[in-house]
Amino acid sequence: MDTDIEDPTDWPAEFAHLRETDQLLRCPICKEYLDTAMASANCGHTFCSLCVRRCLSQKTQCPMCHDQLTESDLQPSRLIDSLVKSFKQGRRQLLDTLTRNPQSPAPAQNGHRKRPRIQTRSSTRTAEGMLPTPQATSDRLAAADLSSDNELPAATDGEYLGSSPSSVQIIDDDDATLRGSSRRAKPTMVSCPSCGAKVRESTINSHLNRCLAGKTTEPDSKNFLRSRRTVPLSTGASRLPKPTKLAYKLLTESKLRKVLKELGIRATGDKHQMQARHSEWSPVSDRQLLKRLDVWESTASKPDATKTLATQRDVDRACSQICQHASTARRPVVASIPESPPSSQV
Amino acid sequence: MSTPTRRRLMRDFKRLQSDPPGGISGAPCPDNIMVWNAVIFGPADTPFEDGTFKLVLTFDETYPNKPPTVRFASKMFHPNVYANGELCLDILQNRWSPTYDVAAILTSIQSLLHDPNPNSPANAEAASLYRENRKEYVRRVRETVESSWE
Repeated sequence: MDTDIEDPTDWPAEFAHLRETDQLLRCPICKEYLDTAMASANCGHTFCSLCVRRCLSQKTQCPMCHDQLTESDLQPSRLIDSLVKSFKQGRRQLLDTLTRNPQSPAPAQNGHRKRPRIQTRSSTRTAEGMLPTPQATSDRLAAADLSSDNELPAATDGEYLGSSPSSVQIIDDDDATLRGSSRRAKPTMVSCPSCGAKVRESTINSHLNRCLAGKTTEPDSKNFLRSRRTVPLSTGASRLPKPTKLAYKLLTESKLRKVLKELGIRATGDKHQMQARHSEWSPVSDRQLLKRLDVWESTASKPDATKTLATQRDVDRACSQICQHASTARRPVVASIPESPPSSQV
Repeated sequence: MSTPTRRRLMRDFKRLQSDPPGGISGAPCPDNIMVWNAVIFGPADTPFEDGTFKLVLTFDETYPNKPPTVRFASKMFHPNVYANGELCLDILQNRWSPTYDVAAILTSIQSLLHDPNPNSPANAEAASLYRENRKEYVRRVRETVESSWE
């Protein structure tokens, strides 16, 4: 019906594990990929933040297991957010690869192509006494594919190698070399031609990459610390006040109107409408999402309209349509009790 | 206009097409995704076997936070189905969960045919026959099975 709706069943049936992974990364409520995953601290079930908060505003129980659940039991799950992000990024590519040639996926072919190159290279290095001097490195780089368009800033390369375009290639090669030599498990220590530090032979090339890119030996941890310091400051300024629960019954209409105005929400209509609007807004704690509130209001105020649309006329037509199909439907019934339907006690 | 509800319904439809549970089928009306037609085939080894029971599901913008309205369009004789076709099924009322989709609703109704609950009867006659005169109950159900073919 709609090609932009991705579903776990997009994966070929023979890749059941991928179907399952796809399914697991989805919210059980909206069936989309989890958006700001929140896990219940009690039962561990995970939902989109917005979906589960919307549910909990109606009923304080887990939508999956019906156990008692309140908003304070929810915990963010950053690992799942990252998993969803990377899975979504690779999904199209992986799906294309699998559906094009499921017998021999492309990544495996790449791996085969690389391996012989790794072995020749490491054997050469063994002959040189396992010491990749700057000269040896640049020789290797010269031999590497120079057609690569990617390049690091020329200044950092030029200091050591004088040739810039191949510096990205070294990353690729070294990852492969790393795998090749770690298979042999020879923990020989060598000194870095750039900074002189003693490094394991198997990691010298990735270490060298970092040196060449102008970073120090522990660049990641420093970046991490810096980002941790700055991020809360930058986002904190634009953050709205945290939504609070209101005891609507204790508020007069004018007080509620004032609260809504202060929050920047439309404050029209009677108390009942404003209450509905505020409780819908509560799970949405971002200014950008305020416009979703308008969309919600224009649709949610219409249930009556949709119901009248879907009244007798539609139902009659629906019935007559089914009756037309009844002849095709009249065939032996297959054994059809599902394994796990939702409980059906009355 | 695409709303979360409509998107969810399109997703439900895609799921129902690509991975259909046995013995049920369903699709939205071509001009209104908020109204669905569905057919449940009577489960084997029950009096409902061979029946093709039609249902109409009506959604509004509160779905999936609220359940849809489900009604049998075919004549039914079942302890938990009212004379007008409406159902007495917990998951469509107080046990509803927004995690259910159309496939889950239809499979639940299918298993309700298999396994009626005579303790909360919507059709008192069907409930008492089910408890006390199973042979007559089966005969009456077979009548609705035959009328479901028309």
